[in-house]
Amino acid sequence: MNALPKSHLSHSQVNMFLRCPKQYEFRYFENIIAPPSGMLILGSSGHSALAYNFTQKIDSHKDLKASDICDYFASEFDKRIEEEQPIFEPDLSRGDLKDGGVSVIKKYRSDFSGSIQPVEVEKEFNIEFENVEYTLNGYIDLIDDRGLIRDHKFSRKTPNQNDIDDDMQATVYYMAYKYDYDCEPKGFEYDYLINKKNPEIKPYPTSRSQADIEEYLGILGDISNAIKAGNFYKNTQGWHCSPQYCGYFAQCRPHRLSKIFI
Amino acid sequence: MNLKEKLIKVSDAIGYLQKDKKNSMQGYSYLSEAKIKEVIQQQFVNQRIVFNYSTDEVREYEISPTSKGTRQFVTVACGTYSLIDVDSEEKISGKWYGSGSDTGDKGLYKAITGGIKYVLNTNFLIPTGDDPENDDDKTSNGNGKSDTPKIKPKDEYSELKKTLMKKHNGNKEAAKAEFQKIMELQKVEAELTSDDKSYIDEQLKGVA
Repeated sequence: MNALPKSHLSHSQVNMFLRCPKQYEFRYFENIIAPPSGMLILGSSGHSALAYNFTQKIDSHKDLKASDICDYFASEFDKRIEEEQPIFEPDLSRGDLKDGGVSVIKKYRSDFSGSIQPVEVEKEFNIEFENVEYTLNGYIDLIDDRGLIRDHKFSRKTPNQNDIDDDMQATVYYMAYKYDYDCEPKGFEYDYLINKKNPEIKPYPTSRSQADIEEYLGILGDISNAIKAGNFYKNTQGWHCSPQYCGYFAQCRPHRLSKIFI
Repeated sequence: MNLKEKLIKVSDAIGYLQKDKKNSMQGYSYLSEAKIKEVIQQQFVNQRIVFNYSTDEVREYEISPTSKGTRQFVTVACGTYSLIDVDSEEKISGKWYGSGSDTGDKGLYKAITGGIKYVLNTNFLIPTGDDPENDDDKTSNGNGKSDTPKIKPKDEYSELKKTLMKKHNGNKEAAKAEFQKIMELQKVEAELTSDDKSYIDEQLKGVA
């Protein structure tokens, strides 16, 4: 049995392992950091811009001007592009992404953020366990004054409700909320900022039960065992296993590259 | 005394047996065959009972290789055992079954050992704390140790610890030192009597 690569697990680690254990090995055992996609840079810069607004709103109870939030987004976006050198999707250039980000954030500011009063922004959690050596860490985007957990998603498409109800990220945040506040959150809402020609903001409420939390803990235990046992098989089935969506594709499946580029 | 009465005496004398061995590969505790034999044999001698067994059938199957790729086999064996009262020549017989896996030639011995151990354990109802039907022990790998993380009740000082870590830019040692200092001061404060507190307040007022 090996040790875990870090003293903690996070939901993004769990998600990566579930998507493809081999990808997890490249990232966390071989420490190869693959370039992110352009869309991922839009998401992380957008998150920072919304956190910038909401952090000051905890005390001020007022949103910043849309132009201030968008300026913040633009400078974060440019900085991250330079630092992280992403791979842009063929149909989405750097300019498209930046313009799309600005317009969807403007839409969010004008139609949506006014009704949200945050009490916690980018709240860090660190769940400790009695019987295992690791912790489960992460950040909750926002908790509002009604006790609702909110997570911002930047996407090109609207999700379907079944995917929302099955998404384990909400389960982890529920668990973290219960751990920190010793009570249930009022609910959970994914606020989707849909980056398209006419941007849309769509909230997707969902909820989780204690049974969901227990199920997640079981999965977490099994994944940690698989990691410790060095069980990193390739999951080649699915959208994620392609040069566009996996930065390790060339190292992992070189024999497929020629077929793809012909 | 007939054989059944003697067996009750044996059972009564054995009582509870503490698991004495640990499987270092898979991390579980177990009751060794040596310990069972040692305890039961003494009682059998005391009661003048002979234990006898034969191995009647053996089968061997290849199973999935080990994580290192070594071939391994499971051996299944069955046979007959007898408990014989030397004084009356009364006899109680039954069947035993056992299985054991090994990468070499020890599968059969493991199967016999396991089978006989199980016969003795169950015949004399030796309590060991194991309950194969206990589904509450949510083991995911069958090693007797639960791997499903169990949430620890929150440390009442976790927020303070987090704040100190931030204050010291992630320097664990510095944060720990300040935390210990705070705890010591808190202890001192808790030991102050109300008279001490009034005295300090009075003195501080004088300073102000």
